[in-house]
Amino acid sequence: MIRTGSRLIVILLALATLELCLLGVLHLAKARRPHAQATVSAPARSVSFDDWIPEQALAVLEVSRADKIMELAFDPAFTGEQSFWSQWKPSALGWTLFRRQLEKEMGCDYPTIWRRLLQDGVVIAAGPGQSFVAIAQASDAEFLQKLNNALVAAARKGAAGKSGNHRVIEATYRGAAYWTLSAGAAYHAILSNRVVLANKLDALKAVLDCRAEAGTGSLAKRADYQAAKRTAGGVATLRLSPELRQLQAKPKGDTATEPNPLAVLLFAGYAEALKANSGWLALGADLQGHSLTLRVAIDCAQPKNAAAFSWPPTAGEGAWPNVEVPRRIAALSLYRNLHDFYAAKDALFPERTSQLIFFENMMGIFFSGRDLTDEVMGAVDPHIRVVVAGQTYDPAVGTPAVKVPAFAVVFRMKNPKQFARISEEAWQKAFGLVNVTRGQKAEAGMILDRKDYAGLRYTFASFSPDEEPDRSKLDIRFNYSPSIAHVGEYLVLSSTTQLTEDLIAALRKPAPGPLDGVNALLEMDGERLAEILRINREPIIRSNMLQKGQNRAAAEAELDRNIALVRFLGRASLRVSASDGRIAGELTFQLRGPAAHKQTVALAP
Amino acid sequence: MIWTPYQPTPDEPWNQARVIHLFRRAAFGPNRSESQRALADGPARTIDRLLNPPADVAAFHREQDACETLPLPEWRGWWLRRMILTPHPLLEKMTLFWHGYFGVGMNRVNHAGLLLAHVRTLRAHALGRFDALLGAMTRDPAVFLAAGGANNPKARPNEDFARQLLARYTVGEGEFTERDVADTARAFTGYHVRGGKWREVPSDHDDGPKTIFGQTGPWTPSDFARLAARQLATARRVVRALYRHFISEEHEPADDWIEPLARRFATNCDIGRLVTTMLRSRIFFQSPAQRIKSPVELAVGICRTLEITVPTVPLGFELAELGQNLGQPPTLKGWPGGRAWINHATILARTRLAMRLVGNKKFPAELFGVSDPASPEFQLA
Repeated sequence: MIRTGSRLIVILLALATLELCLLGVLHLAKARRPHAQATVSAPARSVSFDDWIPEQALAVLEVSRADKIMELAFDPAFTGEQSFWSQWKPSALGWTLFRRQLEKEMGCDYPTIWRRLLQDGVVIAAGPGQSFVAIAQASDAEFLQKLNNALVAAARKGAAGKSGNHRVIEATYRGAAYWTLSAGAAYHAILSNRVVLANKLDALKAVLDCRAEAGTGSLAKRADYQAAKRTAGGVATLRLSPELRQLQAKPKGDTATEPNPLAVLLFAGYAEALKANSGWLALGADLQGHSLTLRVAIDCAQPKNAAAFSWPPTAGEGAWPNVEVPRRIAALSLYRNLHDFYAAKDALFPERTSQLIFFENMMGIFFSGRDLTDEVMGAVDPHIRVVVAGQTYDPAVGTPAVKVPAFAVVFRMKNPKQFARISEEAWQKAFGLVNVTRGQKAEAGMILDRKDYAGLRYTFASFSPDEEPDRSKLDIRFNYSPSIAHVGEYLVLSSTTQLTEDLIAALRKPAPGPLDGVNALLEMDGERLAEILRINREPIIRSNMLQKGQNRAAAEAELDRNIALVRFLGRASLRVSASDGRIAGELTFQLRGPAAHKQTVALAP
Repeated sequence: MIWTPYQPTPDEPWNQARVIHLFRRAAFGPNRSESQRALADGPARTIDRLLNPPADVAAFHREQDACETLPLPEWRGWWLRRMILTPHPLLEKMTLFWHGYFGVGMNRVNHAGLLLAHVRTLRAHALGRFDALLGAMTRDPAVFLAAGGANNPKARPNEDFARQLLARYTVGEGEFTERDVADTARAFTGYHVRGGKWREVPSDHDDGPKTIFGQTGPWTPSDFARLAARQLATARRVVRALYRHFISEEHEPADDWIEPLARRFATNCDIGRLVTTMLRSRIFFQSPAQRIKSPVELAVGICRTLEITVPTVPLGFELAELGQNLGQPPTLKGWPGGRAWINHATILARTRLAMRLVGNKKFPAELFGVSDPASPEFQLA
C-alpha cells in the first residue's frame, strides 16, 4: 500500500485538505458542542507561506485553521453512515489498508496523524503547466521526520523487485533533501516542521529556491497579492491571480457566440466589474453559528458604461427585499433599469441576432407598435422581483406526471393606470397567439378567463382536463395556468393562478424599502428544492439514465446525493452589492445538521 | 437451392467469424458471453435463441414503454437505449428495418406522440404477420399524416395518398393500375386524422364496390391491407428489402432467388419465418462484408459488444449528423443505406464515434495488436 508513496501523499493531502475544509466548516453548523463555534471563530494564527510560494502561482488556496477544521471533520457524528457526507466517503479496500498501515507505523490513529501534519495550516498553489504545490506546517519537526521515514521505508520495501517505475529516489537541492517515492510521479521535501509536496520537480525546486533566497521571487514580494489578502479572509481563502483570469477570459475566436440578452441583463454588470478589476480576486470562507459565508470583494468602480443599468445610481437606492409567499422555493430581487438596458442594446449586443429581431417583432405586435424602449421598458421601474414556489394541484383538474414549480415576476409600474391596460392587452394578444399556434399543430388550446380574488379581478388562461384519460398523470402543460394581475402599482406575471393569488396577498402588505446598494438578492430554500427533486424523482432518474447513460441504480444514487446536498445546504442567499467603490458578493448558507436531515418540508402549506 | 440451410462442415466451420457475422446482422453485435454461448450451441440453436430469447422480453418492453418520454430527442434516446439493452435485439433490428421501410418521420407527422405510437406498432408486429402489420399501418394516424392522407373525403378521394400506399408500402411502382389507385382512394374515404387522432366518419365513406388488384368488393382500409399483403409484388418488395437488410447491399439478388421466398411469404405473411429462412441459409453465411452498417447499427453494435451504456440523447444527435436521424427518415423511402452512409465527412465522423465509444484514442485495430488491414483479425477488430 505504502509503495504508492509520495504521489499518494500529494493527492491525499490536496484532496483531503479541500475535503476536510468543507467537512469541517459544514460540520460547524451543527454546533453540537458549544466550544466548536468559539474555537473556529477565534483569530487565525499568523503562519504565512507567502515567501515560499513562487510568484508565478495562478491560484492559491490557504487554509489557516486546518487543525480546527480537522478536529471537527473527524467527528464520527459528522462522518457517520447517516450523514450526507457518507455518500462521498472513499470505501476502497486499498484506502483502508493504507490507513491501518500508517497508524501502525506512527503509533497513533489516523485523525491524529492528519491533525499533527496540518496543525499550523496548509496552502495549495496551482501554477503554470498544471503544476501543483502543497505546503503544510506540522506540529513538530520530529513527528514529520518520523512520518517521512515510515513512508520512505515502506516505499522502498514495496519497490523491492519491482521495475524502475517504482524506484524510490532521494536527492538534495539547495541544501534540502527531497524524495520521490514513485519515480517522478510526485516529489516531497521535509524542511524542519514543514512538508512541501509537488507534482513536478520544477515546482518543488521553485519552492526551494524561494526558501533559499529568503522569499525573492515569491508571492510575499507581490504587492497586488498582499493587497488581495486584506480583502477577504476566513477559515479558508482562495485567491485567483489576474494572469489566470486573463487565461480564462481568452476570446474563443470563431466559436465565440453572441451574448444572450437575458444573460446580459443578469450578468453584464458583474462582467464589467470583473474586467475593471485587474488585481487578485479573493474568495474567503467563514463561519458564524450555522452560517457558512463565502465572500468575494472586488476593488473597482461601478461600471459607468452600457452596463450601468444594473447598478443603483444613488445612495439609498437598491433592490427590494424578496416577496414572501407560501411554499416559496427561491426568490430573486434585482435592480435592473430596463429602459437603460434596452437603450444600450446596440452596445451590449451589437449583432442583431435572429432571436432579438424575433423578440422585437413580437413585442411590436403585442404592444401595438409602441416604442419598446420608452413606452414599454421605460414603463416599469428598476425593481424587479422573481418568485419560484411549489404548487398544489386542484383535485378537480388532476396531477401532472412531472411537477414543475410555479414562477412569477413582479414589476413596479411607473404609471399603473396607463400601463395596466397596455400590459393586459399585450398579455391577451400573446396567449391568443399561443392558442392559434397550438391549434395549427392540432394541440389543445387554453381558455382565457377572468377571476376575482380578494376583491381584485385578474386574467388567466388554463387547459381543460375534460378529455384527459388519466387525471393522475397529466401532461406537463397542466402545471401552468398563466395569469396577469395588477395589484396597485405592481404588475404580476405568473405561471399559475395559485401563485398569482399568493402574490396579490403578499403585495398588499406595506411596501418594504430598498436594500441600500444591493444589485441582486437571491434566496433559496434547500429543503423545498429537495422536495421538488423528491416529488419528481422518477422523471429525474429517467432523464439521468438517458442524458448520462447511467443504469437505474446509479441514477438513483446521484439523485439521492443531490437531494442530500441541497437539504444540507439549507437556506442559501446570495447578495451582490456596491458601496464605496467596492463591489462585493456574499453567499451564505444556513446549514442543516444531520439531525435536521430527517425532517421533511411539504410544499403544501 | 439457394436458401438451403447452412450446416457446419470442415470447409465452412461454425467459428467465431460466423458467430460475429450472425450477431452483427441479426442482433447489432455479440458480447463476449453471447459469442461463447453461440459457439457452443451451434447455428440452429443460436438462431432459435435470437428469434425467441429466453428472457422476459415482454417485461423488458413494459419497463421501457413506461420510461419512454417525449419530445423527439428524448424518445430517440430511449429507443437507442432500448436497442443497447434489449434481450431481443433481433426484434429491435426488425423494428428499425420497418421504420425505414415505412419512412414515417417527424418532419411530416409533426407530432412526436404519434411517432412514438407508430414505432411501438412496428415493434409489436416486427416479427409477426405482415398482413397484420399492414392492417395496423392503415389505421395509424402517423402513416396517414406522413403519406398525405389526413383528409379522405368521399367527394374527392385522396388519390395521392392511395398512390403512396401502393408505390411505397405495398406492390411498388409499375405493379398497379390507375383503377387500383382510384379504388384504393375510395376505400379510404371517410377515414381522416383530426387533432392527432384517427377518425372514422361512416357517412363520408364510399361503401360502393371497388376493384383493387383485380378483386371487387366494398373494400375498406383493412380490406386493402389484407389484399395488398397477399400480392406477390408486395412480397417480392419485402423479400428484396430484407435481403438488403440481412444479406447484401452489394449484390442484387436474381429473381429466381427471391421468387420462392416471395411466393411463400405472399401465402403465409409470416415475417418471422421469412427472417429465419434468411438467417439459416448458406448464402447468409457466405456474404460477410457486403453491407455497410448504418450509423445506428454501428453505435449500438459497439455498445452491445462492449456491454456499455452511453448517454443516448447526445448519441442520437451524433447519429443524426452521420445521416441517420431516428424518427426522421429523409423520405417515405426511408434511408437509402449502403454506400450512401459513407462520404468524406461521415467516414471520419464514424471513426471518431467508434473510437469514443470504445473509450480509447488508439485506432481500434491497434487495441487488438493487429496492424495489417488485410488480415482477418483486423477485420474482426
